[in-house]
Amino acid sequence: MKASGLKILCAALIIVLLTPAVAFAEVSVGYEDRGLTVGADQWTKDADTGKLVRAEPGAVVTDPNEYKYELQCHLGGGDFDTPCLGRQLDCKDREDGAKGIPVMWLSRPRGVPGAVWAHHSGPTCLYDAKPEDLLPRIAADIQRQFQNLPVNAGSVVAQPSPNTLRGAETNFYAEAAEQQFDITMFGQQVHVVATPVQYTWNYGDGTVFGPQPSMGGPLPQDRWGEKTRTSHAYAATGDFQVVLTTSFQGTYSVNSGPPLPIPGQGQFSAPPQGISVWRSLTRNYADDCNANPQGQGCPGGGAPR
Amino acid sequence: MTLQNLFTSRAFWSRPQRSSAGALLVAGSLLLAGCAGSSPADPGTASPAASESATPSAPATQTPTPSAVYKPADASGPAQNVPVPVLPEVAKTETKEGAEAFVRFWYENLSFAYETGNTEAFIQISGPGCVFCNGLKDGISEAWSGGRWISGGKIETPAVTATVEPGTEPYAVVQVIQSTIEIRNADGTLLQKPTPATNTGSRAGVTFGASGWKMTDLGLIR
Repeated sequence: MKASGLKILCAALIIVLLTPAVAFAEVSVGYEDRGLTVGADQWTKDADTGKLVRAEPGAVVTDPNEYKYELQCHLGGGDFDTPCLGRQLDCKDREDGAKGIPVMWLSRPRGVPGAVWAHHSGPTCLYDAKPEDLLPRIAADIQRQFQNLPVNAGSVVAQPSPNTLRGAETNFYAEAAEQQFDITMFGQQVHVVATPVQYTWNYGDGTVFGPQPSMGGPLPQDRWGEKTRTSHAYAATGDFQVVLTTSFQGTYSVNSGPPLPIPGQGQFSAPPQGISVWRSLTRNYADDCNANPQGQGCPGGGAPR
Repeated sequence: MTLQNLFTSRAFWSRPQRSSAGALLVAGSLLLAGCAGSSPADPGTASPAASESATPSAPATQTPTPSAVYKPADASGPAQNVPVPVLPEVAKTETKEGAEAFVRFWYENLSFAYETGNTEAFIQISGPGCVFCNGLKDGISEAWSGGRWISGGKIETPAVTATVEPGTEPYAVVQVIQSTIEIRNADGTLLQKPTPATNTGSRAGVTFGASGWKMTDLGLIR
């Protein structure tokens, strides 16, 4: 026993010694990376005034860029770059006979007036007779598709459960995770990634908390009853149905193209979780059961009054 | 490699009045190179012997020598003869045009810092309280430490719109495009996975003082 314990300790030490070297190798040097690393001010466009305002801390981060694609080697109008066509991506036609067309992806920041499109990624293949308006068609439908995906809102955990006490802080937390889906839209393989970003708790007694960004977390048993960001104290006894609604943010990528933001969030609810709220009575006695065998809770004690 | 790096910075600091002319020449030749449609990075012609012969005495001659030609960084060594950004006259005025020209100039200096490891110029035109500016400086210095150099990371600002109005702090909204960044170890190997190119919106808070414009509050638009 002792030997294996030592071994574990040594392994832990080695990990500790190795970690700084690994961390040192990653230098965050890029303009955007660095800004996020050092906590540069973040600004968003106010939906009403159109003016830039400081983003509120903890606000849901959306992709600040917009995307489009162009046919690879296309110069505009009917003109194509001939040398480029020679080394164009070879999009093999699909088994169903759909013709593959190589496209380049471009992006630009949304909040900058006059921003130009710049190369983002690609080439990747699209399979459609009219690839020019394929993305708008997918974009118009992606929100509906997203909301209809079988996204798991996560599970609800209550501490303590299934019974808790009136007036006591009951700790609720969610266990929700990123999920990935592959769907077909307009003949294209669309890969959707759903990430949980906000949580709304309906505690079943008329109290609704959220949407807010914390999914909460478990408390060790000796700390049950402490107030947490997501805990709730029931004012009355009874059986309650707790419902968690998780908001997911999504991205979609068309035939292995770049992940594009899905504009709206998807709301998904977890199955209701029952909780029984009991009351507790405290009675104090000056003596122990030996001195007062008739006291409540003592072997000879009477029924609670 | 360190030798070349030193040379770049020494040439820049010892002869500031000549470097602007050099920058124009280099800019001109770059334009020509752009017309020819050749790829800017040409690792095939990189020869360590040729770059070592580029001694600091070269700029003393009147005719431009091949060593004065800008050469971007690659796996064989850091960039050479990086054009030194020149502050346009208009950037000295407290106007919308002045603020826009200054912001462009600031990013040219930042790009210069990525390419040369010399962060002094862009820090000199940044306010001491600019968290993002200082963060960029630290990141670039770390990347360039220990005989390493950066290949890529050049910055372009195709869209700059300033708001300079009485009663409000002047600022500019900027599109910042940065090319892929590779950090090369002294032996030419990659330190880490290259940082992909980015296309970012920034809000640049600027302040006009006795020494002209300064970048005082730089942030990201999300």
